[in-house]
Amino acid sequence: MEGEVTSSGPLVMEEYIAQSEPFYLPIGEEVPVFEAAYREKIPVLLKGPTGCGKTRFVEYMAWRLGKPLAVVQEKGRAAAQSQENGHVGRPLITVACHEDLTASDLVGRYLLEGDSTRWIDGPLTKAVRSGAICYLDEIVEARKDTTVLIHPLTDHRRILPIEKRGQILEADPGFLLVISYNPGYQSALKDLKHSTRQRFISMEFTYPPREAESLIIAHESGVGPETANDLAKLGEKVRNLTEHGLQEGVSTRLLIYAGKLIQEGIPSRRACQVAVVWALTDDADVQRSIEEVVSTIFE
Amino acid sequence: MAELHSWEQALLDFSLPVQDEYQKVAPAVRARLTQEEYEAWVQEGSRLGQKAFRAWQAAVEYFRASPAVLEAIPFRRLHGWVEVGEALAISSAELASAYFRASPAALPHLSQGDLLAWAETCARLYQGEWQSGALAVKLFDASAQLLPALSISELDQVAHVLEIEEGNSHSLAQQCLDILRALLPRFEAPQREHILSLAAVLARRSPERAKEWLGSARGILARVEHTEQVRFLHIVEKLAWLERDQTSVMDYLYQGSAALDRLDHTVHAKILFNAEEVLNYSAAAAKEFVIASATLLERLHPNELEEWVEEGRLALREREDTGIAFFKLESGRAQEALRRLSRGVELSQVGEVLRLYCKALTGTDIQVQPTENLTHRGIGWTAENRPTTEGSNVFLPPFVQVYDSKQENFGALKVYATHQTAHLEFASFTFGFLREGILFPRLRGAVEETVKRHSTSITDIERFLDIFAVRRLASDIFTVAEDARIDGDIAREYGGIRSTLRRVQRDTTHTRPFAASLPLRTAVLEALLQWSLDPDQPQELPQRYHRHFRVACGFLAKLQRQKCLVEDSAEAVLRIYIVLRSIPNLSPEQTQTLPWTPVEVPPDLNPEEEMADLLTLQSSSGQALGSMLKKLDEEEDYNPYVPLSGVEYRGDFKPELVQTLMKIKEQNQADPNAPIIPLTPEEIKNLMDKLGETEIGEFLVGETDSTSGMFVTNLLREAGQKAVQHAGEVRPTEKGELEGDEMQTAAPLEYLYNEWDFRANDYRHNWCLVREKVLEEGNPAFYDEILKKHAKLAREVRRQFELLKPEMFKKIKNLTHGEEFDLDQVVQAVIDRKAKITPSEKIYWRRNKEERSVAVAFLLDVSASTDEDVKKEREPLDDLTDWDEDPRRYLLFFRERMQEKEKVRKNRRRIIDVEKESTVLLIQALETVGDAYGVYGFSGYGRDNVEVYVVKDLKESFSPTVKSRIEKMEPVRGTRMGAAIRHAISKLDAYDAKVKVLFLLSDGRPQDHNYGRDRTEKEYAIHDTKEALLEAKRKHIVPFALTVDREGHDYLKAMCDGIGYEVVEDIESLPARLPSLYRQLTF
Repeated sequence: MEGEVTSSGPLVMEEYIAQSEPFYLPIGEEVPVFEAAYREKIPVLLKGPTGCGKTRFVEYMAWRLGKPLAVVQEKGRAAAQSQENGHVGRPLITVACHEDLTASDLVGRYLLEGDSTRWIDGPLTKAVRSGAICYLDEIVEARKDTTVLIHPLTDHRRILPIEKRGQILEADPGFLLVISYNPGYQSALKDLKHSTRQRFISMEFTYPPREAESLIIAHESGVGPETANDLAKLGEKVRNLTEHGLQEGVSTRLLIYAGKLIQEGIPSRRACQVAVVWALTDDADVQRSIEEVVSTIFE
Repeated sequence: MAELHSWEQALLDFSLPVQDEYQKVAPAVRARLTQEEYEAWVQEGSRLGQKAFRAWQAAVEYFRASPAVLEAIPFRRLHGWVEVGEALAISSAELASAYFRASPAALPHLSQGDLLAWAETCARLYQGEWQSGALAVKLFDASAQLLPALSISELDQVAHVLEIEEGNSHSLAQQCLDILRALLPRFEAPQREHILSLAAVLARRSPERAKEWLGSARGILARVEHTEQVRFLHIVEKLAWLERDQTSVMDYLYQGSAALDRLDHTVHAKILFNAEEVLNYSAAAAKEFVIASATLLERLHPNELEEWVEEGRLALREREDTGIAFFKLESGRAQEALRRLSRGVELSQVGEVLRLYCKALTGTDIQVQPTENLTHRGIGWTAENRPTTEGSNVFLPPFVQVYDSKQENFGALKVYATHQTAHLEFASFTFGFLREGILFPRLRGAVEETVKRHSTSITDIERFLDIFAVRRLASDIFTVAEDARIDGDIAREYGGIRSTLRRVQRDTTHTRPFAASLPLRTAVLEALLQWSLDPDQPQELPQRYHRHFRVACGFLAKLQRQKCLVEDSAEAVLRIYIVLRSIPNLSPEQTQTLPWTPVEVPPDLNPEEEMADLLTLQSSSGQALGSMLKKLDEEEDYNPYVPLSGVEYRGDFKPELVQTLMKIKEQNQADPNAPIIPLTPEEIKNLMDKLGETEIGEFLVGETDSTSGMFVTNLLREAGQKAVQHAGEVRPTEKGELEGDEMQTAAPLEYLYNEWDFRANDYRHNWCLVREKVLEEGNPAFYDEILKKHAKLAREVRRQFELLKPEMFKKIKNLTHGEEFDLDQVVQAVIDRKAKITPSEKIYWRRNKEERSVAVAFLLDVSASTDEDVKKEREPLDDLTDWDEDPRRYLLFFRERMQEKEKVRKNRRRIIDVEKESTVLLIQALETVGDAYGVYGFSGYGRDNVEVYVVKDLKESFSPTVKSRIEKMEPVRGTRMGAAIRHAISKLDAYDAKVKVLFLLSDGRPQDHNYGRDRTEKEYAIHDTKEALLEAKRKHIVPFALTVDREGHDYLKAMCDGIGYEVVEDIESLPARLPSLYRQLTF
């Protein structure tokens, strides 16, 4: 794994090429659908609550859609670490969007260097150039001017205008824009505009069913199948409270954390308290209710 | 008169009645006395008769009483007796008569010395005129009843009380005496003493009260444990001494005794002992303590009272009012202490937690409610304290106190809740007659066919139970089996609650009836139930039926141990029923002779095989089972089946009713236009008949048409309500909520709020009831008219607000990262470097979006005073009588009048009109900036009737409807600001915004009915309002008070200590002032 941060500050960016297969348990038809979309260069919108596996899915798909080693080598990195029958994933650039993320944060900016200025590519530009999958997480959080960039990239044109340099960049054939969007907690103000929405095919993600989730928890945290099943059960019960006291149900990620703590020897009730109860809400009544659910399930 | 002796001559001077009476008694007296004594006796009489003008009357009585008196006292005391009478006769002949008349009854109870005291005591009441004389006579008469019981000193007390009463009213004194003569002999000396001394204290303050007390004393004291009556009275005496207001004494007597009567009389000693303790600090507090004792002991153990009193004593030491409020259970402190001291768990405290808990387990929107909410609906549930569910909500007992600690009690309550939700989660109520189970082959269809019992059923479960002849037995087995399955599921699914569940199960077995005391079939079922609760406990049964029991256990064990469905429970019921039916239902007397031994249940038993073997079934087919069932059901039984008593923690399980309800609901939902009665009343009646005798029980006593009709109506109404909506907390006071019109459109929105009592320095818990009402719609043109009228001002305000908008985007310079270079900074940096100075890295700028997030609630005072004219020089209304002080009619009239005279002269402008105008302008301005705002009017009358009128709710968006509501704001009544403010706070608190403002616009000081100790007290209201405003601050809401009361400065200063306020001197400037104030506050 290798990352490169182009700018410090509030911008969080990861770029890496997966070296080994990320664990992903397909729940429905999402894998063939995504593959087809990739082949047809159709941008993808992933909808779903936080921590239900959207990012992991994109990582997994990036790995699956990986191209032969040689092509990656052209980019001049990661060659040495290649393994597993020479299979290396497609590069994936993930940008976690936040409310101060502007278009220039995505496209790039000039830096002062000596007496002159130097242009540095933003993550989106990098992906467009190199043919990576660019994953804009929580896109609605970003400022509205980012849509100016997204629109031409996501129709037949597949171009990225770089205003400050007066350039127009044509996307590499391998480039695909994937955005994610959590319809649950954004206010109506931040809803995705239809002109944006309708440029993507949408894939709905929900939390996995109990059996699948317990497999995921067992795999990721290393707890036994029984504990994993109890954790999945807890997840299911707590999610029943969504919209009634809880803004968002407990994510699979948190359940995995709880599993990891249990694996570390923390008593299960305590592990659930810190990983689930306190992590989810500050409302004392709701906390108490969830704690009661925890104490009902775990000894 | 035949011949007269010399000593008799004197009698001739008297009137005939004297002579007659003498003649009448003479023979009897003569027989008793010697000649000498006899002569003396006659002489005494004649001397007496001559003592005064009408003393002859006394002489009559003297002679009449003599035979009896002489029997009671020796002759030598005769003189003394007459002497006393003579003395009385001098002042009043009536008194003397009464004295002699009463003597025969009184003398046996009087010693020689007491005689005079008695006479003096009675005669003391005589004040020289006829009324007091009559009273004294009456007391002599009453002595006949009183003296056998009372001592002379007590009689003296009686006279004392009567004297005081007499001083006020003769008739009252008379009535008191009547009451006393009947009352006192019923009590013993110590009680009598207190009854009298209390009467004396009361009489001094209010003779009426004293009479009231004496009149009700018997009833009151009957409610108090005999040995504690003195203590009870001791407290009230002290109270009566200290309190000026005697009504509070009567309160104590009535309410205190009523409270004690509600309790087990054995705890009276403890309560009154503690009350005396409190009495040392405050009599008023002791009174409240006794009155509240019944409520208190619902929550506390009598042994915890001492701690409670100690807690209260601390409060009293701070301030007496604090302590009184504490003992009244009105202060927050009391509630807190109660919660801390009590071991029990109140549903209202944990209801919300459990609601979310149940919702989490089932995933459906379950409400948790106290059981009484269900029993009050009259749809077949009757047990007040048993947990249950009707398919969509969970009902739990309001208070649980079965264990010694709070935690354990909560655990128990949680088990109750879990069991009920498990019925929903593991689908007890979705039984399908034709659906396959998992464990057992489906035989019920074949059995039904073989049995061929005629059945018209609404639901599947009903159809299933119709198979059986002894329906109640089948339904009891079904309850045992299904509950066992559900508990098994809980234990398997929820490892954490397993141990608590086991404990509750084990403890339940201790409260179960003894199997040997029941008819045999019930006994086996009881043993089966207990075995399912605690398999480790050996069950004893007659040896001969061990096998039957083992087979039944085998079926239950399967249900408990494996994941299965309700259909499996039904199949098990079918089999267990047959097994139990093959046991003769011997009476306990008959089974006594049989050897009862513990049954051993092998862990791995194939019940199906065992059963076939036990009952010698040819095959395990449905037909074979069916014909066996048919045969058994046709057999004559020894005794009728005695139903099994319910299991406390599992509560009421009524699958038939639930399925019926669900079915009606389903049909209603499927076709909302369908008639509200999807099932014919006959069908429901039929179901009811099946349930009637057993399940609905006492609810349908007599099964008259009216009760059954009511049941059907209730059931249908219940199903008609799509969902039972409940506003937040569980409130036990909402009994009446479910009554009323069937067409419930919108249940009134009611909220409870605390109120600050500055004396107690604490909150009065849930003191005010706020009703939220959405104003009806009026003329929407009103809004535009105002805008037109104030067109210039409106434009001005709008412009000011529009100017504010661009401030939302701010360009921020001097950043290390940003959108673009800031050219000035770049140039500076280059220059710096050329000059060999370290350049600044902050050469970027970016636009920062400052999101305006303001929520504001406007509270407008619409109390009666806003009806006043803006201009003080009010023209008197010529036709005042036209509207009879009815504001509505007045307003109607007023509006008409206004329209008429509009052109003729200037309109009458009321404060509320100005308020409305200001509101319109403000709304106009706020719509420009896009802040969230709510506009509410408030008024009301009394603490249980605070009304908040919604013009525009915070979450509502502006619309013509809002426009039209403004017109409808009209003056109402009082100004209970505190409650209204708290309501606005809770609205703002629930709204997500960075800046929250509470704007209070009033026209005078807060005042309302009972808003303070008495009418004149103003501090209470001001303190409460102040506290409410401070609460707002604590919740990060900026409160601001604006008043148009020119005298507002004095109280606003106290009310708004540290809070912004303004007094608008010229009310006409309000429309202009309000928007500009708003700008200042929020920008």
